[in-house]
Amino acid sequence: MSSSMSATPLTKTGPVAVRAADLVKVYGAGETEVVALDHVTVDFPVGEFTAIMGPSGSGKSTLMHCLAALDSISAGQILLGVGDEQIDIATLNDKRLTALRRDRIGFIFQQFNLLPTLTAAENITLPLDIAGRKVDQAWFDQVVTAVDLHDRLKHRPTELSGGQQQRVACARALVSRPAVIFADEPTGNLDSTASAEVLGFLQRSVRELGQTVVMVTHDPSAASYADRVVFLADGKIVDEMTSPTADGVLDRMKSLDSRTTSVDGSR
Amino acid sequence: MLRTTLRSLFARKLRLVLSALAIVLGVGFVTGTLVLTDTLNRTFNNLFSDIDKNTSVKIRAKSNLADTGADQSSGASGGSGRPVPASLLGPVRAVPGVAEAEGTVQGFAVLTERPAPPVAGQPPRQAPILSNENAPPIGVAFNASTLSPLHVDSGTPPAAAGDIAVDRGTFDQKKLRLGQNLAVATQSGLSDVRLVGTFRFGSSNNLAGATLIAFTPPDAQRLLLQPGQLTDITVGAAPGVTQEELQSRIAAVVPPEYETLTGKQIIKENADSLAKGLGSFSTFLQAFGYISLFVGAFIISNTFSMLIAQRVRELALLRALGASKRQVRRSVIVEALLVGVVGSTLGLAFGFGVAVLLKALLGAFGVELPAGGVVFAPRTVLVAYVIGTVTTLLAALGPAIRAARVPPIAAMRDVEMSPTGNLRNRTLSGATLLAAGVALILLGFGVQGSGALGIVGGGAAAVFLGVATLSPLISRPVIKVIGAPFASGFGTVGRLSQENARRNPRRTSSTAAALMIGLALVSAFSVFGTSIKTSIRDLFGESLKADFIVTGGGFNQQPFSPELAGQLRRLPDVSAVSQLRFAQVTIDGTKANVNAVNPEGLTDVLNLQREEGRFDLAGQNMLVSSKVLADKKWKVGQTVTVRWAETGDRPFQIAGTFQQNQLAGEYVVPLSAYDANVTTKLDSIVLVKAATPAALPAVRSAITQALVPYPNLDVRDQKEFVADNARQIDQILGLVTALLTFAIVIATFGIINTLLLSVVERTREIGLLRAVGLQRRQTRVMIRLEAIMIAVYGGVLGLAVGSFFGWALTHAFTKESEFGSFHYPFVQLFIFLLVSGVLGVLAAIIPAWRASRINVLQAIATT
Repeated sequence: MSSSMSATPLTKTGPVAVRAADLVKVYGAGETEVVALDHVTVDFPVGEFTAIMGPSGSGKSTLMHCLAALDSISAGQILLGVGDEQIDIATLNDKRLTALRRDRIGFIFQQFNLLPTLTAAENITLPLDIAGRKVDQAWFDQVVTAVDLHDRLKHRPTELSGGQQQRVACARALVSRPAVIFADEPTGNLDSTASAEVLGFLQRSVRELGQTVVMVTHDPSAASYADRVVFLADGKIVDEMTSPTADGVLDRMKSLDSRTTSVDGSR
Repeated sequence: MLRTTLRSLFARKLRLVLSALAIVLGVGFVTGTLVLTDTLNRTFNNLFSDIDKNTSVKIRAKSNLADTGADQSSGASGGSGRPVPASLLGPVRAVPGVAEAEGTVQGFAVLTERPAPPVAGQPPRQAPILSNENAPPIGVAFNASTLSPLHVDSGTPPAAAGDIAVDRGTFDQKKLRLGQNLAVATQSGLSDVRLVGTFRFGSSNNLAGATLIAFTPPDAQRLLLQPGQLTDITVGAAPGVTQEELQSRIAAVVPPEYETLTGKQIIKENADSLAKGLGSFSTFLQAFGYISLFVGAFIISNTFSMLIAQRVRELALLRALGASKRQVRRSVIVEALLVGVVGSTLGLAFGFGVAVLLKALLGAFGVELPAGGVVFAPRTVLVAYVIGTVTTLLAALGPAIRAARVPPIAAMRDVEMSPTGNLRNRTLSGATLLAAGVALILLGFGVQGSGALGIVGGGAAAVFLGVATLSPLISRPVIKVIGAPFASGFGTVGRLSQENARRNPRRTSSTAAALMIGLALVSAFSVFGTSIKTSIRDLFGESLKADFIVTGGGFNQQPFSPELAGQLRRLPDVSAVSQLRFAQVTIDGTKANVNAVNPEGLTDVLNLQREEGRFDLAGQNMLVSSKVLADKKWKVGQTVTVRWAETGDRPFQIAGTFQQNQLAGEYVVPLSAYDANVTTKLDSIVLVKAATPAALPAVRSAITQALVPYPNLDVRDQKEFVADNARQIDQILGLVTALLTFAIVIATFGIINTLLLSVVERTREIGLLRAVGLQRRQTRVMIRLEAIMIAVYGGVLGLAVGSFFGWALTHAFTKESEFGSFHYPFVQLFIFLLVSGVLGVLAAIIPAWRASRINVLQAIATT
């Protein structure tokens, strides 16, 4: 596996759910060119809860969007899946990308996660319904039990609290048994109790159900739920921390902030 | 504040264009009809002034009926229609100050090809007609006097017996040759003629497309009137003699049964009757323009509502920064004003196009208009701006008030401006409007005269507004039903569409309301037309016993020689032949049409059911329909006064009454009574009854043979006659539907507009769906299905309202004429529902494309 001089290669030896190899993402051209991702190579092993952290503008959201097949890449490879099922998603057209998102990827966004016209249950099974696939009722019940939403299934999003809405989103992400779930600041709009519920659920889905989760966050205490934290700055991976604690992550972030400041000279 | 308004307006160019489009089309239609009517008015007035420019005085038979005016359809001038004797020319010419006096001869003449010589073994055939059948076919006497509007253009004027000249327009159109042998059908039958020349009419090729044939004066008298008769006399004054002076001098020598008019009076009479005719034509067309505008108002109102819903944060920010409610309201009004002015300006330009188009359309129907520019009266410009801006402002009023209600706090919150209207108020006001509308319509149909149209129109508008107000209350359940097949057929995508169509009842309703109006009117006329058509089938069928009806069609429906009836009577296997003639009279002071018939065999050809008295049509007897007897509170045996145009008052005794009969009409008099009071003794319809059913084919072929010298006449059996009458209803319905298409097109733009704005509003939602795996194709299907559901909902409302209108219309008509019954065209109305679905699909094309192109990442990443 090739790696650039500037990025710390973070390749793993076990089965890998998603792998970014020498990933480059450039916005604009000429004078307005911005390198958002600068030769990033990173593996996300199966059954691991990874948090991506970094200061604003570090490229953490861009990395996630590229990994989740929501954004195109400028160079490099994104490999999804294990063994024979591994796909280089850069080679897919829009139709197959859409199907890939539908069948193999789960999403949890910061806000506006649910369709207001559908009930909680309908929102949960939405990707399966779109695909025209049958819902595995036993699995559905298990997921709904895990997010504790049994008595809320008939409600519309407007009748649910923020935390409940986000748990519906979690259930939706999980119900189609995706290869990987991407969560973009899932607790950004929640209070601490609701945050703890959502993060606890994500953690359990990894530990108990063997799900792979990749989460972008800027909250050190959210990151502390993860098995590993990957730190990004200026489009490059600068560090990694396993079994993180909130304090440890906070310290690391502080040093990253000051580093960015010294490099930019503008903060 | 103004700058903010302008900025936001120009930032949304597409929406501006789309909402202005509704106004452009509506204003265009109204101004187009105004321009067309003005143009027609001016060109025809020019033409008439041109024709009579050298006429100082006209002498014609006086009519005993008030207000006969000029009858444009027959091409005859006013007066009683009774001829003037040629012997009057001498005394008139002798009047001092008369420079020249010429007799005009004018009548019905159809140009045809020479009939082919009969071929052995083949039935003889009528000669093909060359005259324009969409205009009255006119024959005149040619004279070289300066009083004549005819100017020879090529060849020679008709000089020898059998010579004719035709107008340049017909000559070119039918590719005739000078010297060609042709034939002319007149009241005297078919005559062989030779084409020797062409002429222009005034400065144009012909008279609005009508085919004109010029004969020598003796031929014209023989064929069109009787020898020694003239239609009227035109007099030219010597230099220095005024029209009025000459008129009084001539009046002194002319017997009292003739009247004299000055050239100015003639021109005015023509102009007045033209203005009257064009006026109703213009009103008819303009009604459709106003319908379009009304539909457009719904779309504008909806567009503004949606724009404001999307700008809640922006408006709230303005309020938070210190803008007053009034300023916010005014900014919306100013925006509407600008849209209105822009729309009116474009509409005016579009109206010019509409006028040219309508003019071309008339040309396609054979109504050729004299050359001349399009008339753009200042009034047209004024009307365009007034109706355009006022409609837009009225439509934007509600949204403006709602915009002002946005609280400043909305700037800090992610609130969706949901309408907070009170359900009870909505039900109440909607029901009130609906009830008032229904009442007005029923009242309007009871009112006689010109006010009725306004009352019914206002009632219809109120019904539409009422239904549109109530519609949000029922849209959710109704769309649940409409969408059910889609939801089950298209799975989640169908279900999403259904929910989208149901989520904002107000928006869905006002979008559907625009389509509702168009479809309601189309289906109302369809219900009405079907009812009338069915009634015609029943009633014409019931009123006839005759096996064959001989008459002309369209403008050829001109009276013909009674010789034909005599000929038909002599045919073998014919048991009864009856002649029908019609006359306009006044009876006891009110206008009426009397039918004159042969008393003998009357009940053999007409299914006349006796109610009271005797069917005795001797002498001065008269039969009346039982309805008339009841309405007029007459009694059988009573004598009433009939005033004839030529002869004045004559007493008639009511001998008996009959039940409603379509062909007999209201008053039946014996043919002899007609002959005593009308100079031109010609038949309009001849009814033939065969002796036995077995003889029918033989009788028909014998009649066909007898009609060879009458190329303008046709023989039809009962079925064909009824079908032809029903076809006329279809033609009128077709025209009305075509004109209403305009309103439906505007409504379709409304659906496009709403969907486009909805797609913009739901960018993030669609982005989320795409993110979790909705394919582009599925996205398009989702938008398309939503459009279909909204359109079909509009269709359902339209059919419901239209069925009521159609029923009311039929009911009013039935009451008026004791004619007709209600028939519901299920198949046709179902087709309208399908059509509305198709409109939905068409309207969804652009919005669906937009939705499928939404950038997923931008849609969901913008927080």
